[in-house]
Amino acid sequence: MTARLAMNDLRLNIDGHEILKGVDLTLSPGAITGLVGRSGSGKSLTAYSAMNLLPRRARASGEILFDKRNLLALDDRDMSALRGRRLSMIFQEPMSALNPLQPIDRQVAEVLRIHTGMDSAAALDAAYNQLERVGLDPERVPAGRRPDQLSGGQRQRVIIAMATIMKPDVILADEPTTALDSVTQADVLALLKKLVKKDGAAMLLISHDLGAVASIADDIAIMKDGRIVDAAPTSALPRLSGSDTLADLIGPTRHQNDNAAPSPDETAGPVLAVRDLDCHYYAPPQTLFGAPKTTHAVRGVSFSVNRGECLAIVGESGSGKSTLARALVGLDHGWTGRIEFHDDAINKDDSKAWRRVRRSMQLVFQDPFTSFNPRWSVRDIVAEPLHLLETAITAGDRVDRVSAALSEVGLDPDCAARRPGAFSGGQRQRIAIARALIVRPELLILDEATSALDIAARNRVIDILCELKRAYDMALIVITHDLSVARAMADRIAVMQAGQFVETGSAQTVLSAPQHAYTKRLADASRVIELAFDKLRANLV
Amino acid sequence: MSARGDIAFYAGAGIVALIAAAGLISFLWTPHDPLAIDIPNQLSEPSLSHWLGTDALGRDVLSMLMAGARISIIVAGLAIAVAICIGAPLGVLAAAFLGAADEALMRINDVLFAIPAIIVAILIAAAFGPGAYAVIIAIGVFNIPVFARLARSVALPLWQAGFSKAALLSGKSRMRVAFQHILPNVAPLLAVQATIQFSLAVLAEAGLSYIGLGVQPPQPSWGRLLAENQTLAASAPWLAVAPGFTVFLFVLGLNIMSDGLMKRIESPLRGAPT
Repeated sequence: MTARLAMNDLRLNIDGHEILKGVDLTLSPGAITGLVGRSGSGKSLTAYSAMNLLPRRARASGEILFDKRNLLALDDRDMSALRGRRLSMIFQEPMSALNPLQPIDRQVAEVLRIHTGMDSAAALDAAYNQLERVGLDPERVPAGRRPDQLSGGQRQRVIIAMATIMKPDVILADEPTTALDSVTQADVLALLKKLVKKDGAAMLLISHDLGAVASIADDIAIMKDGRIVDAAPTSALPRLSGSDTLADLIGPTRHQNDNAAPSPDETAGPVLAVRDLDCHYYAPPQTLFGAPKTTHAVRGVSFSVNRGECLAIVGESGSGKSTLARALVGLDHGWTGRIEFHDDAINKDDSKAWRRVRRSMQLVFQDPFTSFNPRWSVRDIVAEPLHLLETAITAGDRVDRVSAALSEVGLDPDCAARRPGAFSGGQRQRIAIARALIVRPELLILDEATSALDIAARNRVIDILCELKRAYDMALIVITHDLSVARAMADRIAVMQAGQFVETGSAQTVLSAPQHAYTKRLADASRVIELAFDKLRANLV
Repeated sequence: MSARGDIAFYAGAGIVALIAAAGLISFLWTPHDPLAIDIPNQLSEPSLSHWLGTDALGRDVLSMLMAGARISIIVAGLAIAVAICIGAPLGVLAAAFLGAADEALMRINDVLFAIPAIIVAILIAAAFGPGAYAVIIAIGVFNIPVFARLARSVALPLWQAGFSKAALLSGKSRMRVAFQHILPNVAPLLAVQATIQFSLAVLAEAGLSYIGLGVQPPQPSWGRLLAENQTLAASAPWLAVAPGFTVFLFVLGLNIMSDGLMKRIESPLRGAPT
C-alpha cells in the first residue's frame, strides 16, 4: 500500500518545550486514520504541522513526505499551492471558519475560483452540486443562505463541502464532530466516510472521542504526550490490551447503572414539580421597523422529580433544554405555568422565595472554562453559595466545609488555595459540583455538565454524581444531548424536541423500546458509536 | 504573556518612569531654581551649566522641564483618575441592569462625549478663573464616556459566563456580582485604556495650557513652555524643541507600555478577543 502522506520522526519544539517527540504516521488513499488522545497530547499540532500552519515560535524537524516532497521544507508560496487544493482541513468550530456575511454557495464557489480560475457562473454551478453532495438538499436548505441561518450540523457540512470540492489527496479533520449533538454527529461521520471511500482521499480524523473514531476509522493511532503509543487497524485495536493509554481513554467503569426501577421515597412527595411550563423570549426584529418576535423555547412541559431519583432530559441542541434549566433555577423569568418546590408554588418575582429555594437547588454549568472567576481561589469559588445561608458562619467552619466538599468530589482539599486555571477540564467540573454541593442541595441540575469532557473524565464525574446521589438521597436532573450519559445515570428519561417532551418513561423502557420517531433516531445515532466503543471495551481486559 | 510583550512593557515603563522620576526629583532639587530670572544670561545656548539653555528671562530650561513634568503628570493623572472612578462603575452598572437604566446612562454618556473638552475648560475658566483644576475637570469629564463605554462592552459578555450566573444562584444581587466578579475582570482592560488616555491627557494639558486655560505663569508646565517659546523658535530653537521632545517621549513611552500591557492580559473568557 502506498502512503499518500508519511510523517517520519516529526518533532516539534515551542520555546524549548518538546511538544511532539517523534511522530511516525502514514495516511493511505481511501482510508481513514483516527488519531485519538486526551486534550493536550499533541493531536492538533500534528495536523497543523502537515499544513505548515504552526505557531510562529514553533520549530519542526523530521519530515512529512507528500508527493515525494518534504512539506516541512517548503516555503509559504509552495505550501499555499498545496493547501486547499491537495491538502485540506476541517475544523471543529464551523461558525468561526465561515464568513458570516456571505451566502454559502458563494463561499464554496470561491474555493474553486481561487484554485482553478473558473468563471463565477461555472463555479456557482459546481458549488450547487457540491452542496447537494454533502447532503444539503437545495429544497430544504436554499444555497443562498448565510451561515447564521444554518444549524451547527449544516454549517459543518458546508465546511466539508469546501474542504472536499477540489478532491484533495489528504483531508485533515480536527475534531470535526465534537461541537455537534449525537444525531448530527453520526450523520456527519457517515458523510465523511462516504466521501473518503468515493474520492479515495486519505483522511486523518482527530478526536478525543474513541467511540466516534472507532465507528468509521480503518486504523487508529493513539497519542500521548507527543508520541504515538499505539497504532493498529481498528478491528485489531482491542488486542493491544497492554496499553495503559487505551484503558485511560476508555476510562474507568466502576459505576454500572442497571437502570432498574428506583425505589424513591414517593410518599414524601416530589422535590420539584413542573406544570405546563412555557418559556418564551423576544427575538430582535428581522427588519428595521419590524416588531420583535416572540419565540417559544419551551411549550407545555410538565414533570416531577423525587428524592434519590435521576431524571435525564435528552434532546438535540436548540430543543429548549438549557432554557428549561435556566427557568427552573430562576435565572430567566420569561415563563408561565407552575413550578412547585416541595408542593409550594414559586412566585417568580419574589426574590426572597428564590433565595430559599436556591439553598436546596443548585445548577452545574456546561463550560468548565468560564464557570469560575479566574481571579478567585478555588476556596472562595466553592464557598460562594454559602452566601445563601441565613446565619453567617465562622471562617474556620467555612474552610472545613470547603475541604469536605472538595473531598467528596475526589479532589485534594490542599488544592483550595490555587486558582481554577491550574486544573484540567474534568477537575474543574468537579470543582463546579463541589460548589453546588456545599449548601447540601436536595436537587442538583446538571446542564450538559459532562459534554466538554473526554471520556475518562466524563466517567469519573458520572461516578461521583451517582455516589453523591445515593449518599445524600439527592434528586438529579441531567440535561444532555448524549444518550449514553442518560443511560449511565438516569432512572427516568424525558426526550425533548422543539420545546416539548415527546416521550417520557423509565430509562429502561425509553432506551430499549423507544416509541417516538425522534427517540428512535437518537437511539440509533448513539448506538453506532456505542457499539464500536463497547466492542473495544469488551475486548479490553 | 509573550516575551515581546514583556520587552515592550518594560521599555515603555522605563521611559515613563525616567520622566516621572525627573518630576519627582524636582520637588527636592533642580539644577537651577526654575523660577529664578537671570536677565544677563537670557537665551543662552545649551552649555555645561545650562544643559538645555535658558529662555528669554534667563530661566534654566531643564529645571523648568523637570518642574513642569510634575504639573503635567499630576494634572493628567488626576483627570484620568476622575474619569475612571466615575466612568468605570457607570459602565459596569449599565451592563448589570440593562434596560432603562442602561439607556439613560449611556445616552448621558453620548451627550458628555459630544461636548469638546476645550469648551468645558473655557466655561470653567470663565466661571472660576483658569488654573490646573479647570484642566483636570475638563479632561476628566471628557474621558468619562471613554471608560464607561469600554467597561460596559467588556462587562456584557462576562454576564453570560458561568461564574456570574453561579454568583446569582448563590443569592447575590446583581449589584454585588457587578462589583465582586465583573469589575475586577474588567479592570485589566481599563488599565490598558488608562495608559492610552493618560498620554492623550498629557497632550490635552499641554494644549489647554498652550492657549492659556491651564496653569498660570510663573508655574511651568510642558504646554506653557511650548506656548511661551514658540515665537523664539527661529532664534533659539532648543527652547521649543526641548518641551516638545519631552512630551513626545513621554507619550511614546506610555503607548509602548500599554501595548505591552495588552499582550500580558489573559481573557477571563476563553477565546474572547482581548
